[in-house]
Amino acid sequence: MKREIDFLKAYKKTFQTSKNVGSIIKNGLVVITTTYCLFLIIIFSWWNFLKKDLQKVENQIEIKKAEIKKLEKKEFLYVLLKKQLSLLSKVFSSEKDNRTQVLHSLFQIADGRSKIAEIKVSPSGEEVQISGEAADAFALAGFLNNILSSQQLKIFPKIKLNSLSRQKKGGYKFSIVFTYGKD
Amino acid sequence: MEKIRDFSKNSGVLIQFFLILAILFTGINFLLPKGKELFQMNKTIKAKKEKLAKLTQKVAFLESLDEYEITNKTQFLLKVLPPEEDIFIPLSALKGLASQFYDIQIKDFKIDLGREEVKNQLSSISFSLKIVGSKESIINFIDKIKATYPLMRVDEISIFLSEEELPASLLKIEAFFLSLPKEMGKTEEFLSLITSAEEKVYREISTFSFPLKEEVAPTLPSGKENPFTF
Repeated sequence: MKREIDFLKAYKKTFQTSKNVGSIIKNGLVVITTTYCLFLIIIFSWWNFLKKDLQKVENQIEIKKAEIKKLEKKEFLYVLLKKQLSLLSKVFSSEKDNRTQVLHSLFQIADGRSKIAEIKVSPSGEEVQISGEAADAFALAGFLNNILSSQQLKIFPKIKLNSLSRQKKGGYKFSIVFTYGKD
Repeated sequence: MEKIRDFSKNSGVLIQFFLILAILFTGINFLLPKGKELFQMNKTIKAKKEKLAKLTQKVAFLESLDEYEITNKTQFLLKVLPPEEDIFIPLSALKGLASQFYDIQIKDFKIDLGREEVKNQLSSISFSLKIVGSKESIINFIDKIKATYPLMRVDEISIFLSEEELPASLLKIEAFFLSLPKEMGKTEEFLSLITSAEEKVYREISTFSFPLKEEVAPTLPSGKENPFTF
């Protein structure tokens, strides 16, 4: 039996497949192109919107800067006032105010028989050194007792008799250190 | 032959395909930088909007300030902290202060060279002052220094008492000066607010006085005088 090949049939099949692929590609390309164009439009619109927005914000910034420029004198005065006050508050916070009260108390405790010759108050007010003379041991004891019983001098937690020496002509020379806060 | 005819039919599609490929290729090359630019622009706008908000806040704050009040306060504080380092300002104040006490005498005055300090635009000059007077007057004098402008701080106090002479006191004093700010910072930088502690300091300082009468410039007549005013 003689066998024949049906070329026409085969050709028809091939032609239909390529036609389908072609139309799919064509439609696909149209879809891609349309999407791409839409995407481009969105990008450009967004870019345009942002550019306008940026321009608007920049204009507003310039307006505000001009307004600040007009208020420059006020700003300078305020900056200066702030600077002055902040520095003054630093100076004030480190200041001790009880030194004159301590001096008052020291002047009060000295009597005729015991005398203070010198008082030294350190810059921070944390240390007060006194030196003086007492007529005799009783006067010295009375003076020390006055120091211990003085209410104003109770702010000093540590009172140290630094030196005590007896004089040839009688009496005693003494030196006392009052320390505030530290040991 | 048929295949060639098919190819020629599909060639239109192929050309279109390659054309779109070319568009996509150039598009990607164009769109990617554009996308980056958009992202950057978005960031810039956000930053600029923040800057604008700060500026708006600053303008509103500056507008809310009372210029007359700030001017008065600043001028007064310029007397408390003078801008120029002039030792004669605190010295004349101390001299004036001593004249308010009948028994206080300034005996000696020495500037401590090399003790000039500068901290945060705040500079100071140290000097020692020897005064003679009664105990009470010395204490009051020290107390008054604390409430006198220009701002002075009594650092060290030494008192010498003797039976023969009036009590003497050696005071180490620090006088403060403030140089004016040279720059005000960035425009968009918000001004830091005056704290309640600083307001309290101002209230305390506003009670300070200058012991001498401040000189007032004489008012000269200008223009025609109104003869109907008495």
